[in-house]
Amino acid sequence: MRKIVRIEFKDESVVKGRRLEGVRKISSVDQMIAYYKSLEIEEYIFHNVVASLYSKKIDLKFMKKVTNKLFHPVSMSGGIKSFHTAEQLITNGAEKVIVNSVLSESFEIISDVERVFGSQAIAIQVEARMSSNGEVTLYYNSGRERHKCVSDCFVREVQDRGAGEIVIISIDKDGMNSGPDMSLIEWILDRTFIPCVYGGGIKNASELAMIEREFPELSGVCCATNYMKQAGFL
Amino acid sequence: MTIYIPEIGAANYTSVERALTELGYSYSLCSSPKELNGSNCDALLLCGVGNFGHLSREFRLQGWDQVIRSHLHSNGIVIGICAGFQILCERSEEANDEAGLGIIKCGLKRLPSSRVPVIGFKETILQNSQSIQKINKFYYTHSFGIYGTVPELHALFQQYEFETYTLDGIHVLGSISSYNIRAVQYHPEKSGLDGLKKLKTILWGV
Repeated sequence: MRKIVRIEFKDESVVKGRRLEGVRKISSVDQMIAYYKSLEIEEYIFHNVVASLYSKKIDLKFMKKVTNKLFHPVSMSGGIKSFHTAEQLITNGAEKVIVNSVLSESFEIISDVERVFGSQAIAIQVEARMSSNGEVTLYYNSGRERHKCVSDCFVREVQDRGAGEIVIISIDKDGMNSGPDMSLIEWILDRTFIPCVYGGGIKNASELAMIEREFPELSGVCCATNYMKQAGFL
Repeated sequence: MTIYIPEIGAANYTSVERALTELGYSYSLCSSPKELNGSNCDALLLCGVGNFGHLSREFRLQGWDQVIRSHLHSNGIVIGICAGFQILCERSEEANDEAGLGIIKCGLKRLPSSRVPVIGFKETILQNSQSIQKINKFYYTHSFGIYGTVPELHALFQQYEFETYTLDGIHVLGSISSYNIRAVQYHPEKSGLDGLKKLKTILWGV
């Protein structure tokens, strides 16, 4: 199972929220990259927590600085609203772009990127909350806004448009270090035929092993809080 | 010694460029075959992302197919990475109406996985070499490939050394290598230190 680190950042600082809220500063991006390199992490997601919320311009210089330090797949996420931005990121070193908020308006960006760069270049971040009766609602803008599209339709549409991967984040488990949402993993795997990655709440190797055992079809997991705690950043 | 990289529309050349720079190689991105006229081309490096059909079409439209064949005929070296490897093949199920360059005598089929693309680091093993075999992990991201049993792959690629990874018990081709053609399905430029070491091996003689 792929183990991916998801680094949330604001400006050039690594931050970490809880339930996708808050931007507690943890360290500089340089310091965090050096730490993760020592762990021999294989894949990275860099997620800009404020780009979408405040319609901030994507900082290409920062992205190049990050990708210059890493000879690993680096995916960029947060605030990607157009094919032009996606193209700039991919042609300047990003393995793939991960989108969510832009899909509240249109799914076109998925097919536009897929047509030129292939499905492996575009993934979808699904911010999800499962209610006690098992109903799943999908959000964007760090869990602040609700997608109008019914969740089953949303998941079907992104795949039909050519997305190559879904990264599903449990809003309620994010940053809580209280264990994964196993029901949510089952929910997304039941509705997809493309690779899926789960993030939210995973706290140790034993939980990783449990997820791998229960869900061999899950492509990977993304973590942040547990790594930061191990390193003493949190 | 210079490596020439045909620049075919949109692609992530940056990662490959960084890796070549890290290894101390000089390279040149060429937007047209004319830029090669009169130059001493040691190796052509084909890389790219995207649809097989689109890339094959662009290589032909821009005249790169003739350049590649002529370069091989003059005992030149051609290196292909990921989509750059795939277009060297004869055909792909990804785009049945478009032919590849046909330099590698084989076609690509949709990978036998319940979910594609297949993404991630895979243990990759050299299958038919006399040298000591070390298992390396390289980063793959692909939906189409060449696969079969090891004897089947041996029969197809007798004149090459080749590597495979396993996918649900089936061997998927990771790379083939001869003096003139060195083609990898994985991304050595995104496979960490082992990937850089592998890229250096791929570039031997350049």
